[in-house]
Amino acid sequence: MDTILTSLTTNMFIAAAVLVVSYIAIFSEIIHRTSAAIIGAVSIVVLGMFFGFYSQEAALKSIDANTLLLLAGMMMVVAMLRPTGIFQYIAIRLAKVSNKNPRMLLFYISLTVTLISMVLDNVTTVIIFAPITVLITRMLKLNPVPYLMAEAILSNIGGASTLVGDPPNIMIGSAAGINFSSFLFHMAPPVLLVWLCTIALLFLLFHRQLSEPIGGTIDLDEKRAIKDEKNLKKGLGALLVIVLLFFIHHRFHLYPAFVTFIGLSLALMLIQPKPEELFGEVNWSVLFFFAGLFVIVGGVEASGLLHLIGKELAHMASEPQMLLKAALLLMWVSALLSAVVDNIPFTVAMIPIIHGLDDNGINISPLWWALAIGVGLGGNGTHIGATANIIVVAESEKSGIEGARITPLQWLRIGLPAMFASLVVTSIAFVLFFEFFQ
Amino acid sequence: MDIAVKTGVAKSGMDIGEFFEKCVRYNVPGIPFCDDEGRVLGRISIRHTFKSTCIPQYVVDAAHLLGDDLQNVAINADISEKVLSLPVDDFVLEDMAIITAASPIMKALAIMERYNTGYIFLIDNGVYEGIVTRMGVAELLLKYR
Repeated sequence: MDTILTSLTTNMFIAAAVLVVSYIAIFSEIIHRTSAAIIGAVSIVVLGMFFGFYSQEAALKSIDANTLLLLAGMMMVVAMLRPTGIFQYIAIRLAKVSNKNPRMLLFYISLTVTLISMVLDNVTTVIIFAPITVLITRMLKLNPVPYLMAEAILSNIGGASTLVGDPPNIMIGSAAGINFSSFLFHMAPPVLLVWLCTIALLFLLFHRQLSEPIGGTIDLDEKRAIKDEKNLKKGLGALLVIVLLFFIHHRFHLYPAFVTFIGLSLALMLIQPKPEELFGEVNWSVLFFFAGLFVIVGGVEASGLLHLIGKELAHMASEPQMLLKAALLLMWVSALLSAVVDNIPFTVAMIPIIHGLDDNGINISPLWWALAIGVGLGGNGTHIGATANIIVVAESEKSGIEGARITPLQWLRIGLPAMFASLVVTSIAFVLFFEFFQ
Repeated sequence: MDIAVKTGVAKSGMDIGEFFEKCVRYNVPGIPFCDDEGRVLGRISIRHTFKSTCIPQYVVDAAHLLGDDLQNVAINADISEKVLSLPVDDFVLEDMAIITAASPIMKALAIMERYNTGYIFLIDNGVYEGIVTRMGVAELLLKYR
């Protein structure tokens, strides 16, 4: 620690100050997080130019275009699929197939949300599934809480398994040069274990609610949910092309973002959506937030601070046994932090630090997986840990159903055990199969 | 503007049942909410009241999928009684479409369109004079037939 302090330069102090102030503004929500990120980005570029450690060119280069374009492309694909009604159709079909069995209903909905979240943004998935879930459970005279919480928790878990399932994964994959297949190959086994463990835990923790007798019928016509069958087929075709290309993109040296745009172009040609509707569905605020963070962290990196931290941390992971401990520590710290603060700024800041360890000759592969697992699963711990959680909590409040409001304490009672169980399972997997993650 | 219908107004402490009675009596979809001095503070609308109390958004989202057997989500006697006894104060909307007696019909229709509403309050010198509805405008136009 003394070495770090004595090695700090004025540039590093300035860059660190901008980062800290920006992150405080983001986490405390004094101003909107996107505004905080943009102000922080402009500040660090101005100060960097003045003190000579950062430039406009370097700031532009620090923006990970692959991450932003991949996100934007997928947002547009989802924007074309969403109005077709396919998600509502699936939810109603599953509810009917569950044959009025609360446990089967929870299992089917959770499995579907997980699978969709592996490919599409899990926030969008939950936004669509949550309202129809409340309606279905009301019709069956069931408490919607177990189903809503399961949707959020398991969609977060599903998203953690693929390169495109969660924004931090896109960033990690892009920074580490991990392709879709490799990401799935390494993350799917631990995530599958976590999924099974979590669903069993949810059955146990919601035992009373899932034993309630069903008192009604689902009088919903799923056929009417499909509003545009032709566009649905075209949209699903484009999505299929994207998913297939994800598995082979590295063989053709295609960026994941470019793969998304190939599918998007196909969908644009076939569906020909109205531009104002399509671009209106893109979450520009999120994209600018990410861009701002990249510029801020790029400035800190340019000041040399992250390299210095990497150098100092290098001794912690210099030996194989130490590397395992470092990976586990990173996983747990990432998870605990992600449970209480936004995991994106944390991920963006950690990426160059891990890269710094690589410069010091450390095998950083396990650290990428540890970071992905930590930030992916940690969000389940609290009701504010992930956007999907906030959405289902809001939906439960809006429903106005007595006893259906998900309180922060109620979330902790379910989410925290789920998060710790997930981390224990993945930690054991890490210890037993450490070579697999190297 | 002779097509304005002079209605009663809602005041603090009034319940939804009394508000509905006034709307039904004058055949209007909403009335102004006034203080004791008669100043218009906002409006109460039947649509907004239903939306806030009886029709959850998750039902609206799936309206096109609903069948006729809605036993567990339908409005029943208990809900009706509960809603009718709620105070109007919780349902006051601050945004209002307003015109004066000198305003032309075109302006009234344009403002209704702008506010996505079927009625507009006629207020002169801060005093509520009545309500103009699209139906009232249509009725007026029919006189020129």
